Amino acid sequence: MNTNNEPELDKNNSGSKTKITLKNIIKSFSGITVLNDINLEFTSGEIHGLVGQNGAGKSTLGKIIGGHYKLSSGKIFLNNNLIKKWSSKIALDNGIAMIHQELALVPDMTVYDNIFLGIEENYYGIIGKQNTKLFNDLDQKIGFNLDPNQKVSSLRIADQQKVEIIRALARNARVIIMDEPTSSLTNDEVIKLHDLMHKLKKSGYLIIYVSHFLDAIIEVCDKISILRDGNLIRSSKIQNETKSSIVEAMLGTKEEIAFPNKKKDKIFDKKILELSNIRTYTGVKNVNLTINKGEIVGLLGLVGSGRTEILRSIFGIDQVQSGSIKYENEITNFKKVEDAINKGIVMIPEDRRKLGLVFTQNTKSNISITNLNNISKNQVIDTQKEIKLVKDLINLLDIKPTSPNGNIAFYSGGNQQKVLFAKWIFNSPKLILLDEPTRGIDVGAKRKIYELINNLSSKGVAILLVSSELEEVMGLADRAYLVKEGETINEIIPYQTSIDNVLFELFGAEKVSNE
Amino acid sequence: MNSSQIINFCRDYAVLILIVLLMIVLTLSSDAFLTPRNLLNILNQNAPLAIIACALTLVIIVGGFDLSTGAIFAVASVSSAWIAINYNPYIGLLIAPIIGIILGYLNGIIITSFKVHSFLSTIATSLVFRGLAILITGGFLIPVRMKEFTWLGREKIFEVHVAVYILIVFAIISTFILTRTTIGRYIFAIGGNEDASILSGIKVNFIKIFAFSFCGLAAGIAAAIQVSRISLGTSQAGLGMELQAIAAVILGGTSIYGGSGAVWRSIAGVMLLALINNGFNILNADPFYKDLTTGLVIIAAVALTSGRK
Repeated sequence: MNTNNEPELDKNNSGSKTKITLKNIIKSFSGITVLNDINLEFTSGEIHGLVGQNGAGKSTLGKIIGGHYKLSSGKIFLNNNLIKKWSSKIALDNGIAMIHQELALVPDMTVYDNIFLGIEENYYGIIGKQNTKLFNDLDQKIGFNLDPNQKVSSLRIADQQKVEIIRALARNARVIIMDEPTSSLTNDEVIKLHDLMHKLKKSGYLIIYVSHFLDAIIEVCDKISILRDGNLIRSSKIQNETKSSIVEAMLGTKEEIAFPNKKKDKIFDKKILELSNIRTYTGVKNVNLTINKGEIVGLLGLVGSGRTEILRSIFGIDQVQSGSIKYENEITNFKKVEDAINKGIVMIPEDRRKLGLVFTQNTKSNISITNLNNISKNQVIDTQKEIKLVKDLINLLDIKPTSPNGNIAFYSGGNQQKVLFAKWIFNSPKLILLDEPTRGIDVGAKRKIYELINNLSSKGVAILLVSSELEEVMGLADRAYLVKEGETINEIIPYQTSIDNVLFELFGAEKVSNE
Repeated sequence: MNSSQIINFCRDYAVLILIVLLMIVLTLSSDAFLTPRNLLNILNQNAPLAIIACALTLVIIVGGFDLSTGAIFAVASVSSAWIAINYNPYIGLLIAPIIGIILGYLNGIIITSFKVHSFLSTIATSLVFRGLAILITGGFLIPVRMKEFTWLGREKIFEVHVAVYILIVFAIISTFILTRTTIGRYIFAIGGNEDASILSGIKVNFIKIFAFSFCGLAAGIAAAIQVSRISLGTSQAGLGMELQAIAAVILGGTSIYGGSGAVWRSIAGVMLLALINNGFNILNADPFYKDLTTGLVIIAAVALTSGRK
């Protein structure tokens, strides 16, 4: 079946140059545009960085080139030939391999088996002997020194990444897309990875490097394309950019989404929640924060900084390893979610599909599920009361479609989010843990959610807000904490500082590069 | 009605469509089929299986499996017969459902405290329970020839067997729990999305334990009816019954992945299987073809429902 796995690491015998051209690429997920009219060109022999804020579309663009997402519209040219069908399989056949943030290896198989998975040398389906020479050739040219017989599950993440890279090379890939490859590497490993990328580049490979670590991008890339809100801001040589010019381009001047007016002189003095030196098994290392009644407190940080984990530890999903959580002047490290809910804490999770809604049930059941005790007698649900309650909430939040029996699986993201809010606000919670409340929803729904958040806080509800959209936290929160690598590093008053300052502090503090 | 609506209708009501088709065929081929006597007989004979299927619906909707209902049935049967002989026939009949609840509760406790999938743990408990039944009988049969014991399975009220009334009441109760109570709502929610249910503050473990206990109760009631009917306690009672019950529930259209389904569907599933059986009897067809036909009908039902949301 499979004949030639010989890698061509030398420029001399490769000959073929790869050029990928994107023309008017548009990508939208259920009506929301995440990439808008992207025109870009990539050529072999370069390392091309894709940068942008969380949600700017850089990963999506990488996945489109790698064939993992279908285009909504637009054209891809490979060496000036228009590509008609595109999938990850076809991309791979054409020498384009993608290495994902979450590695896609079979943990229980060996390094060797993983590398040649799907392209094993075989005789009518019977797998042949391990081709040690082939493996060694590959391994030595890159200098990884991997043991082919080790199980992948016993390797560290950095080594697993190497397996992925060799795997791409074994398939004669000429283009390698790396999505946030450094997020789980140590500084030392990052340096090695960058060395390797240089080596590959010199041998005529094209590397597309998706990352939000600007220092790393500046150090290693030849070209860089900056995305913001799904638009390509510019594509230029790295020599023409500085860190601050990149950050500025990433930020831009946004079209104003009107945030509800804040009373800036409001005084909050009724403490409801206090976290001291919280540490968890999930990566929260040292978190100190307080929230008062009626206050909106934001957590600002990059993806993976531990913001969600902080919410989870308060809510009793993740156990607290050390430190104390004081709620309403009582030490309460909740062990169970029920306990937190009974005390008036609710969490509106980021992942609506996985953690928020029950898609096999209609809108009515999803909304009333947390309120059943109020509308039932001896465990029997009063359906009249239920319908009334649900209809009131649907009207209040302007949920569409308005039918209580609607199938929420087909609702827009914004309306699903409203259903999620509706589910909780009837119970008059005292503290709401809000994780990415406006992810993937349109401007109209966003405005409605902002209003709602503000109304709740003016009624005395305390809100802890996590959002990757800095503007959102800056516009809504009375106070905010900067979170970095599981620690609260600073406390700010949003209207007294600027987004730029915050961004520089968050990005500037990243210690990735080797100076 | 456009074509996609028709397809959806077929998917939703595949089991009823097949039942109607089968009844038409059987009515045309035999005069003995469409008589009240025959139809009531089918109901009566399948009442124990249908009762188990009703309760099993709750377990499957919550996202579980119960492969121990046959074994619970056996323990309840032999205990019932043993107590009837040694103490009192009425207490004997009463003890079967109680034992059912206890064993079902045990299933629930094991599943929720060790976090094992119910598929595995109920295979294990079914061996334990069946072993228990053998120990109780010491390997012998326990015949019980007392009117005070056999009335439950044999007597009729207004020309209809007691068992049929019990089935109707049990089906109504199951439906009520599932559609009108908070517990039912939570059962659907957990089966549809367990993580979201936990985050909604639902006592997930309690609900699962409830579902398995209820299923145990059903196996116990079914055992009381059956042991009283055949007036014989045997440790081999209910062999394979758990698989028939699961087949009936799934055949009716309850989702094997949990989160959706209905009690009436399971009863329809039982009736579909029963009609095939009955058809072979009244048509005097070669019984060698029975398993083959049953299998083909199940495949047909599955094909009709495939892609159902």
